[in-house]
Amino acid sequence: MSLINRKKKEVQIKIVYYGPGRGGKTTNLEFINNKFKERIKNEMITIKTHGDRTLFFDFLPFDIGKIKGYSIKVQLYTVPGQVKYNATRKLVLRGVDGIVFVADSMVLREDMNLISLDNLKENLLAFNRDLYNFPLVLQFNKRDLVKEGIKLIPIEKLKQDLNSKLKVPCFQASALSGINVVPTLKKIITETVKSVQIKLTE
Amino acid sequence: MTDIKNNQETEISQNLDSLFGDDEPIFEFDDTGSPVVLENTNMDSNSKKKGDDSKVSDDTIELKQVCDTDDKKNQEKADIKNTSLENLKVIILSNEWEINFNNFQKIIDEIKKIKVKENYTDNEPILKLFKIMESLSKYLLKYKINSKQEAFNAIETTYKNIEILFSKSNISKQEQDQIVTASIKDFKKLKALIAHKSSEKTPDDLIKAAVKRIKIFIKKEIALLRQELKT
Repeated sequence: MSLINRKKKEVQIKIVYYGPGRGGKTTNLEFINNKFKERIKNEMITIKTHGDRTLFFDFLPFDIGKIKGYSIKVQLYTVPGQVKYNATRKLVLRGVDGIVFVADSMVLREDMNLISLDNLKENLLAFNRDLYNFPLVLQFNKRDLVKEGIKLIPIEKLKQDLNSKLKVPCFQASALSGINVVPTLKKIITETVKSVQIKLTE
Repeated sequence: MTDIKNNQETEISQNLDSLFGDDEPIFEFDDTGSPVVLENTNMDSNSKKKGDDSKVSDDTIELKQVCDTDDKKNQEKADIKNTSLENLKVIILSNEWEINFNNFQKIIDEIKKIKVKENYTDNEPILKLFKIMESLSKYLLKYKINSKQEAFNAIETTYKNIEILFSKSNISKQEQDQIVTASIKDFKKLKALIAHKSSEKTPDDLIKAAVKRIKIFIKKEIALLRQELKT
């Protein structure tokens, strides 16, 4: 749940990058942090161990200025993707306002995307939140890996498997090269701020 | 109501553009994995249109140049497909989702299969790298969760080196030696690290020793107390 300080006219929104392990969630945040370091003026906090995998979370806070007189502070988080770290994933999801689901385009990870999306639905339900009624953007990452001779899931199949029911905005991406990282971020911030504004007017 | 919504979206959009810039185009990828500009900062994913070449930004040109120069390298990497290394790569990649210790037995078995299938008797560099992978897998299998985390990285790096040797047909002897030497050096470093770790006392050992000392101390104290009571 977003933190709204009506006295200070400040809104804090929390966006979580979710998805299977090694899908590119941290790479998304790293790209944003590296490219906009000077403008963001905040340091990315990252806790990486055990073979560079995110064991706890990455955290990147920044301000996006004032909207309708309210100062908007955005906090980006990632969760560890590995199946065994569900407790941490759940913890990071507490108070989430918007989600970017980073799906891995590799054929090898087809099942993992589905498992991870189911896991997201389940974990959100634990906080009485419904994924079908929640600011969400899908990112189909690693689309450039076809160049490496790696078999990728066709876009239509990804849309069918992951987005046929959700019908949320989706982007093809290569987080490593930064392709569509910023459009994904802009979209989720827009969707999230819109949903928070609805709450503000309620 | 629609006007209010539109105004809100414009305000959000302006703020985001001033922070992240408004020149970020939206891409999609063609069949070769190259990015193609769809539109400029129009974030409605359902209204995508193919951009004509005249609209391709400088960023795209740069990206295409980078992708083109990488094509030769990628061609070589693509050679892994449908080769005896393909299964090994699948096992290595599957560990990236969740570390499953059974996979390390699979790696050992797969290497055995590859050795039978391919004739590597004269290919000392590949054999040496396979040997390192086997040793690392055995170590990970034996120590499981207590293994040094560097061993996970080492197994991936060694595989990548095998892939380079395997796919680059025109690699010089000198380059091959450099790759193998670097892998052996890293492996030895890891071995030294493991040896150092095993020579150190674990927290369990320290606790056991402390409990032993406490027991001796209590026994002595009780003995003294008994003596005092007798007198």
